[in-house]
Amino acid sequence: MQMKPTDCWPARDRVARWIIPPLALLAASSVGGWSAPAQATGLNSGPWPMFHRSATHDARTTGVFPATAAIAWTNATGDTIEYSSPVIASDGTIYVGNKDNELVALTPGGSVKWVYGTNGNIRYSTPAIADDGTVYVGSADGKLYAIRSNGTLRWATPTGGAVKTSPAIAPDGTIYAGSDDKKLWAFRADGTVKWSFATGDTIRSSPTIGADGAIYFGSNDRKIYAVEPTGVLRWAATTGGPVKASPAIGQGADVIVGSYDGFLYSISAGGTLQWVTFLADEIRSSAAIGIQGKIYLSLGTKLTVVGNDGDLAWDRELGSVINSTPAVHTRLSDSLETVVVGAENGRFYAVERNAGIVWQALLGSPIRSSAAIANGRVYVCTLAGSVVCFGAPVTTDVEAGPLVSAGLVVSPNPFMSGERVTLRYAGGMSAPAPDGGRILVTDVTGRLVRTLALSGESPAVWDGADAHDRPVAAGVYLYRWELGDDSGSGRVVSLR
Amino acid sequence: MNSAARLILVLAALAAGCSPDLREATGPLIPTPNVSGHVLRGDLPVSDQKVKLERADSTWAEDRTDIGGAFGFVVGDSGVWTLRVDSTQPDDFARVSYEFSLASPDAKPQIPTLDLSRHGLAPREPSAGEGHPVPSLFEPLRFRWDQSEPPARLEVRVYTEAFEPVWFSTQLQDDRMEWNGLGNQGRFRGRFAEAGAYRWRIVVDGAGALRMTTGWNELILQQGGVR
Repeated sequence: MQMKPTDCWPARDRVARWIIPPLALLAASSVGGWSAPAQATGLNSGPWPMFHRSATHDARTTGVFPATAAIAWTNATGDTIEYSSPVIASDGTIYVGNKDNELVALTPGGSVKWVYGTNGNIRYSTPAIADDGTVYVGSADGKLYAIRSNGTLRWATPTGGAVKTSPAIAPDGTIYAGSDDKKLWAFRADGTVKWSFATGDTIRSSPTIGADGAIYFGSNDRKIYAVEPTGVLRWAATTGGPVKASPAIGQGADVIVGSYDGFLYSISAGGTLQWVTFLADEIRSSAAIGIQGKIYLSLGTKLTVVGNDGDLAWDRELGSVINSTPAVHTRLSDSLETVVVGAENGRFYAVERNAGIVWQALLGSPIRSSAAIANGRVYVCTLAGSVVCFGAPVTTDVEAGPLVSAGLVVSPNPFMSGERVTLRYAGGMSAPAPDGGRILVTDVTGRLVRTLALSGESPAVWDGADAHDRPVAAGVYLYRWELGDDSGSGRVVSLR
Repeated sequence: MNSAARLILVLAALAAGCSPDLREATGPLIPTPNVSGHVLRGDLPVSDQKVKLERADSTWAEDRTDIGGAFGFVVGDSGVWTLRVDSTQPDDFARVSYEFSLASPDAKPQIPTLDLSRHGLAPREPSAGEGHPVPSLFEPLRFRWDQSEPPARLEVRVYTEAFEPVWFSTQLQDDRMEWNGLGNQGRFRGRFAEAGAYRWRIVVDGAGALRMTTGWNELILQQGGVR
């Protein structure tokens, strides 16, 4: 049984924050391991189980959608979350990768369930969840990882380069991922390689799976590829720039993808150009597909919507560069579509065509990760490492599995001026927490802002003021806590 | 020097459009060029080479290099300027240009060496003198060239026969580039190229705003590509 590697972990606050207890390992070994044959399973039935929700990358959902920017919970993981985006399993568990090499699992209530460390950052790859709960994610260490839902390793298979794409899971259980070794890889559910397909350059575009099983993806060799499930080329279309965006399947099974040449391409599954339209100097955004095949893109500082004929439908200036890709909610009663997207100014927007920005929230840190919409909630991650859940407040944290995390629970986070922030010790793994701990709150330059007493019995309360009772300015603050042998750190965001 | 002679010199300098140096006892009263540089071909200076100083795409002044390849201009206006050298020698770039801005009239910008040599960079495909299928996404037209040393950052640019820009490639550091026939310049943006006569050339970006351009290459597109 392989455990998460610890030799590559930074020495800071990792000591007792997330440790998989022996009982969990015992349970893991009984539900599957190297000796047990892995069953081929398709995509998880969860509400948002992979990048852009589905194997066709539509990034669209229906059902309940938050009416306001009310935040149900936040969890400051403390580690940079860049382009890896949250995904939601059928049991409500939230998974996301971070720049500190970790795949993080959160309970539906936002508590850390477990963390699995790889040997490279998970800056780009969004996890994909299989029907049996296995979570697949690519790492800059060059491997595709398969992690069980309890946080233990099922397998890790190397490619020849960093895996900076988001895996896609086919109905037969095959997992596809592109690599910096210029190849698209197909893995069986047991981790063995089925085939690989070579392109002319590194691959940053995540594979999309069509209804007939064809795999579509782009390459930095400026081509869009369609590959048969057997690994044989169906067609390759040349564009004028690297294709880093991930294709989506639009109306009529057409492949929709933009290129760094500024053109958005629509190509049939058989390899006929349907239309092409120039939109910007370069298209980096993957498309979300709305009702009637509408195509939602982030272009520069605008949210841009293109009809299924390639004509511009509408756009909305958001005043800040948008590096995240949009996600769409469709209200079925009247086909009203609400698009959510985050921007570099740290704001997260919900936008409708006629009403414009219907709600927004300042999260205090750039947002490059794409949002997930599920069960009346919207989940998004910030560059500062916060996972933010918009929607109705959570009253009980439904556990999807054993809670193996420990540390400090900070709530609310972010907090508004005048709010009192509760910092509660979540408990250690074994011995009762002693008293006599402390929390040091500093600004990002390291200047001490406030010292708080911490005990294992009662939470520390920070009134958002410095040592001279002056309310702190809006921004990111760091905290470091010590309690007995336990310690940790994190970030808390003040909003004015 | 008596005052009459000094006055003549000043008037001569003013008539030439230059700002004379009127300081006492600082040497001859000849305007000192504040924009100066050298033209080379590889390591060798190029003498008697015409150098143009342009502003807003029109020639503002001309100079000829001396035996050491040096040239100089007295520029008294702030703004954006371009130095340009043209050549018809077979192993030269057709044009080397350098754009710079003067923040103030007395500024003295650093001008890089204007090297005319292509250092082996030479277009190879598509071949001139024969037709090529109109390119498409699925049957693109391949441009290839012999690499320069070290490999340059460059663009392929396609124009109509009447020198109207049709397509500029993204900047690349490679020895080949494929074009799917889709224009991205002016009225051709978003339109596929049709059969006809075109021209193409390679534009190399050097340090700062130094730019070298190869001569024109003929390109004939014929019907037959699959779109």
